[in-house]
Amino acid sequence: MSKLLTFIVLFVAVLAVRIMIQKTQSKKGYNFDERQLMLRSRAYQRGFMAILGYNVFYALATMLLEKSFMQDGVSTLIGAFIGLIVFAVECIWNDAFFHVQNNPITYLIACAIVVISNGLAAIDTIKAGELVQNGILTSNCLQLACAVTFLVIAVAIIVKLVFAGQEDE
Amino acid sequence: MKNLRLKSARAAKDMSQQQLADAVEVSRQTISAIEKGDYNPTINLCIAICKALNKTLDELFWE
Repeated sequence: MSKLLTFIVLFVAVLAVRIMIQKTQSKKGYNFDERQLMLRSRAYQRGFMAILGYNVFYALATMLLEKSFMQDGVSTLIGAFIGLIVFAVECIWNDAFFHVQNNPITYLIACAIVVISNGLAAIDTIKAGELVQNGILTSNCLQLACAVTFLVIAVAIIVKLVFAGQEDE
Repeated sequence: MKNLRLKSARAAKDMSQQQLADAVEVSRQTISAIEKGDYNPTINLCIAICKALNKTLDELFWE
């Protein structure tokens, strides 16, 4: 019961912060243009399909091999990270990730903080041998998954910035 | 197909892609994509671009 209450409180808090950020951004005139919105919807679709594909693959592998590879809930969260990577990389590659007036450097700094903090925690987990227990990936792998996800996003931003620098008007 | 008429009209007004993008409230990459022929803009964006460059739709977008 207390877990459910914690989840609800956290969910409402995250939702409130998201709405506040959205309102601040719309006041500042941050928005996506029509091409970006179209490409973002396509990226959402591909991210969703990636999650579906992963879930089908994992379900089949679990059933056919009659063996679980991850703790309960971990496979679902890994799927969410995969969907996020597909969505973010596709948006970044098509110049549809940042608001019209946004600065990618801010995102890079945020990504670096997430990668470093989660990466350090993941290294500790690996050193302590808590990543895999009895042949099953534990929930301790989520910090590593988070670090990898944001590392991929940061690399995609950097690669895109390099290409954009080479592109002439 | 590249939209060279848009590119030349922009250049004639001595505007960069970024300046035109700011004028019509889209990203620079969107203007670049239109000029390269990678993206077909909506009629609303076409009109906004025409107004910013003092051109007609025919002059910039009609084949």
